[in-house]
Amino acid sequence: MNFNLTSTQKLLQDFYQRFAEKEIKPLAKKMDEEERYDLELLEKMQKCGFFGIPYSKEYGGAGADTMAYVLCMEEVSKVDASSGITISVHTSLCCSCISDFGTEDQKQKYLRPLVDGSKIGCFSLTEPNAGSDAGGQQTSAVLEGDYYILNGSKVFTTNSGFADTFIIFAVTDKASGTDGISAFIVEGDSPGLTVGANMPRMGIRASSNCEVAINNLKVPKENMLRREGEGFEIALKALDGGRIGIGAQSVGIAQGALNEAMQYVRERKQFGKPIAAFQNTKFKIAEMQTKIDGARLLVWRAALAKDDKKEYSDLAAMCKLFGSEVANEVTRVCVQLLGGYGYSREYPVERMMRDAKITEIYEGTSEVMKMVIAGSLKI
Amino acid sequence: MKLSKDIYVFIEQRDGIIQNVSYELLGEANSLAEDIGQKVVGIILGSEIEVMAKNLIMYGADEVIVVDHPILKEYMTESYTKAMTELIKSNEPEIVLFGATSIGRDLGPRISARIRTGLTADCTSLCIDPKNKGLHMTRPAFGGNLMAVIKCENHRPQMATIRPGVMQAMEKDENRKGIVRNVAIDFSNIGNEVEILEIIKKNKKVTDIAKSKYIVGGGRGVGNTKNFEMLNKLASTLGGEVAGSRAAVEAGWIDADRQVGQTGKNVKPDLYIACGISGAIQHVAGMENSGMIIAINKNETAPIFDVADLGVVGDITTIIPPLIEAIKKAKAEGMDYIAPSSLKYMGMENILFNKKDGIAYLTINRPRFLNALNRKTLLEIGAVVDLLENDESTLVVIVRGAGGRAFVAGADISKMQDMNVEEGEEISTLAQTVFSKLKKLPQVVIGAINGYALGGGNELAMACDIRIASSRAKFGQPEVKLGLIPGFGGTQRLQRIVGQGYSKELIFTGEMISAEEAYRIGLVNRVVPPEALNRVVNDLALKIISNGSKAVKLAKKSINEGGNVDLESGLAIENRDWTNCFTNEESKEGMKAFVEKRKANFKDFK
Amino acid sequence: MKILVCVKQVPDTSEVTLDPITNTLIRKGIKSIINPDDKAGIEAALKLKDQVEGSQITVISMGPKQAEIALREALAMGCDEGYLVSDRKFGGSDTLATSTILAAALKKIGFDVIITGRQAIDGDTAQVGPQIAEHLKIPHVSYVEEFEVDGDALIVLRQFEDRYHKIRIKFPCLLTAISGFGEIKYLTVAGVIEAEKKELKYLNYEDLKDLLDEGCIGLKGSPTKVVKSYTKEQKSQGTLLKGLTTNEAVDAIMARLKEGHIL
Repeated sequence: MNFNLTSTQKLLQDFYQRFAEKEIKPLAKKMDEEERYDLELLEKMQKCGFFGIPYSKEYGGAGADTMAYVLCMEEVSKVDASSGITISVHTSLCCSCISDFGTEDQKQKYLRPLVDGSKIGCFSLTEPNAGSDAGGQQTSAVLEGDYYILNGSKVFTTNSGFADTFIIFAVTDKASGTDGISAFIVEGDSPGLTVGANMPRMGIRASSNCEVAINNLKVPKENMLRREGEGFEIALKALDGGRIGIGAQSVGIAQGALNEAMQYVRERKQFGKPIAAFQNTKFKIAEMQTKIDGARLLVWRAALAKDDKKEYSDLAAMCKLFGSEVANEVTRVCVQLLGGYGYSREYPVERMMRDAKITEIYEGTSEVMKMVIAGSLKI
Repeated sequence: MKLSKDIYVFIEQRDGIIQNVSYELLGEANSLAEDIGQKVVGIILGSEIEVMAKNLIMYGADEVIVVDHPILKEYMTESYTKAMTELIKSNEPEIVLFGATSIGRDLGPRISARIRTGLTADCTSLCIDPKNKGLHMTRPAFGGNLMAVIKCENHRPQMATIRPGVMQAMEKDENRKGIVRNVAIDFSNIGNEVEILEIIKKNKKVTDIAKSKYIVGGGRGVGNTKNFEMLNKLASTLGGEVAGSRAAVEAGWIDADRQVGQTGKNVKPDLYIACGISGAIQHVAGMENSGMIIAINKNETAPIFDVADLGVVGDITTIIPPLIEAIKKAKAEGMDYIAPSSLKYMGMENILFNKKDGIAYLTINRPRFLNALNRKTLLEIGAVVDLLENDESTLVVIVRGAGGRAFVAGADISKMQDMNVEEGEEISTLAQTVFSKLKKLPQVVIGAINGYALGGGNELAMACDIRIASSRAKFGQPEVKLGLIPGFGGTQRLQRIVGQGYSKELIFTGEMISAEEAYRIGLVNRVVPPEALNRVVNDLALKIISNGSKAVKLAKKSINEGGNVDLESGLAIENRDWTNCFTNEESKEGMKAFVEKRKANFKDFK
Repeated sequence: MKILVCVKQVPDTSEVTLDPITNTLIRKGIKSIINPDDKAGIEAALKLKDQVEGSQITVISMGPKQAEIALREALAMGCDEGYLVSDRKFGGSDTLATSTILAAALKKIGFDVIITGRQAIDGDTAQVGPQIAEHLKIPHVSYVEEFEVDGDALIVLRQFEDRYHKIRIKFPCLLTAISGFGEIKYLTVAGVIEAEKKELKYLNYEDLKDLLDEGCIGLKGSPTKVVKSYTKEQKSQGTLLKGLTTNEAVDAIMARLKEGHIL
């Protein structure tokens, strides 16, 4: 049992942190206000290899593991949760589907450019009427010759505004329920695939999150992942992995807010002394750091289990459930510690508080996490 | 062992111009030379540079070694290392000092490795350990957060590079004597491994404000684009960059990439001039670690003044244009330790005297003797005091000691040991008379106490109206240790300042006390860091000058006279001088201005 | 060409803060980094490697075992192999003793050119580079900002406060590089993972003893000794001047500028 990072992990953490401080932090406020992700920044992150961390060198990835990936998620999310989700959806949801379930040809054609930093991916599962109940998919796929013809619509598709590669889930057999869902790799510029306007949101506003309209979209047969009816299983597996990323994102948001607050309370003087000298401040900070460390250990536990090829869906659910709650509580308390300045847009904590909320919702709500955890406990 | 204990100072010249740091090192070397009892030797390397030797003597060198050779025209590591190493090896100096410049920091290490001795980099203070006469070198470490004292006990010479700008140069003394020695060095075996192809004189333009050494920041108070243009000019005159607060960026006066603060850049320049910036915490967070912060703002309660080293309450549009001119002028004139408009009284050997804009500077100038008072020095002080008595144009007199070590270390005992009774009485009478006259001057007399103020030195300090001490200063009346008692006013003035208890303790024990202790017992008004002493005293003088001069003089008179009488009589004196105020126009203007809520203009009444 | 780069692991002094209440240094939680000037040295070495075919970069650090991470980072940046010079006997070395040890190690490894950073941010001495060159009896140029290869020599731009010298210096030689030497490129995740596989070698006193005099290393071989250290006194309260005329205000500001040696 050992809670220490290896020297390579420390070096990576340090590198992510420096990159985030220097490249992402200065843009975070502007990107949030303009509700637009900076594509130059995206390219810089791709060049540094942030979009292919846990994928093998053989396919152009960095050859690292899930631990290396969650360290990145935390450091990036410390300064900007939108950057975190942009990496996470690409890595955990899109790439993992192809890496875990794709054929060699599919990997060469689609995974390689995604993980070597030349293309961006997204994951279209949620529909207007199928959220937590992902089995209620209405998008249909009908085989006609060598092509499937897809029709329907998707919502909340992160990265869709600039993605090159989509994983789209559609029903190939209505009668079979979740066993009738299939997964397809779709190129972003395919006719019949229309990405709508960015959805106005409360938080993670810099990330791209659009409605996707699918009208007679022709997808070559060979772009189906595995076989017909295996799509739902693919989606669930991807989401299990994704939740570790969201757990790490939550830890990052919380730690980022706490760091801001700690700096502020040391400098801010009221009643003749730094507010850090008041016991209320000290106790609040001690409680928050303890919770964040707890959440981080849960994230690392899940990541290590995944790297060790052990069962981890319950561990992923726990780290996301707890992490997202901590992120919400901590950011709210940090805004309070900064008082009026915390509420103002001059300081980043209000953005962090808005950003934190989504972690309790996407890639499975907290309620769904509890179902998963309870299920694993067989009660 | 060889007895030579000289202090060598590497004199840095570029294009035949001696760099300021070299003058500063000569000043510091002079105070060290006193403690180890040897001479200060300036070493100047270059081509056709012999003419500069005289200047070095005027600034404190006892001897100048000149190595004049075409190969030394531009700095090159090997030729300079060879020359210095040979001089060091043949003369065995005790200490060698270099400026911590890009030359000194290249040359020093190479020499230290060649002769295998220690080198302490970037020192900010030097002193001699009284026990073994070794050099203690203090330097910042850990990004300036920690100060370390370093010694080099078993190797000679002890070498250090000294940060420019921290040591005090001596005032130029054209009568100073010294010798100049030309030494020939053989450079014939220097190969062609390294050659200079081209010399490019330029300053690379820095556009990232975070990399700029000097930043002029503007805020809401700047008012408009035109005024920002003026800040731009100030910045470019200084060779720095202009920056702004969020308010200035939002007003469109300046680009967003020049914003300093929470949502902008974090900057740490050597100098930050904040113009019309109120100093909200978001802005301050981005600049508070600057080396020096000067703030100009109309509103005297602006929080920017809390972090400023110097705050000036005033209007930027009137202050900045003449400031730009003054900077241009200063840059054009280069190094000059004596104010250009000052008047130097010739014929005085032991003191320097000059005046500028209502302030007179009286400097006791015998740094080699720790400014000890002898008969001649006392006479010269007396002569200057006589001049000041009728000097209407001066309101503040600053008394200080030359060099970095002593204000005045006492009376010159070497001259006293052979005195008979009559001569003893005469010197006491002379000193008492001169000090009493100084005390009674109509002007305000401020003592800037930079180092030892012992015996006659403390007595001179006590004859000043206000005493400001450097943290390096030491005070005492050690006469009893020599079988004497204080004779220049010490038994009388000291008790009137600190009370009989402390006065007796100090005089009976003869022990020295620190500046902090002197502050605690009320002997000095304030203790400040050594490098800030001149500035604090100047600022104080400026504050006094901005007030009505007649009122200040009358107030001094009233306090002085009242100090010697009972309260009733004192109040009568005050009543007399208060009444006196109403006879002049100055008070009319002062009160009128107060009622009209404007600043009084006392200038016309001086 | 055999390029040797010396790096030092230093605490990130830009993050050092004083406890506002006790006025003592907060040492806890300060990150260790590769000294910025040394990083510039690595960039310079990479640039040199690009210019001279068949070059190999060896990175060397002297320090405790924790300095391995600095070497790993250098390897991730593109250096080919790393050496950690480490021994209890080396502890307590001042700049002269440090340069003596490093010079021995460099001699043992062999080189055509040595690149060091100009100075380290923890000590700011700028001494070790020139001292190594002196021990090895090779020429050096410090404060180097740019360079290019010119046959059997380098043409370098040497920075001074007021000028540059364009200097031709023959191999073998030593350069000390300044931060801002080209753009510091970021690592890549793949580079870091790859570096894990590159070899780190170790040199201790035993390995170097033929080249070292025991009296010239460690505490014993250090001419300079620390007498004491203390935290700097806190910034004193500033001065606020009001009611000045324009000339007085200008004088007050000018006095500050002169005192701060800005003019």
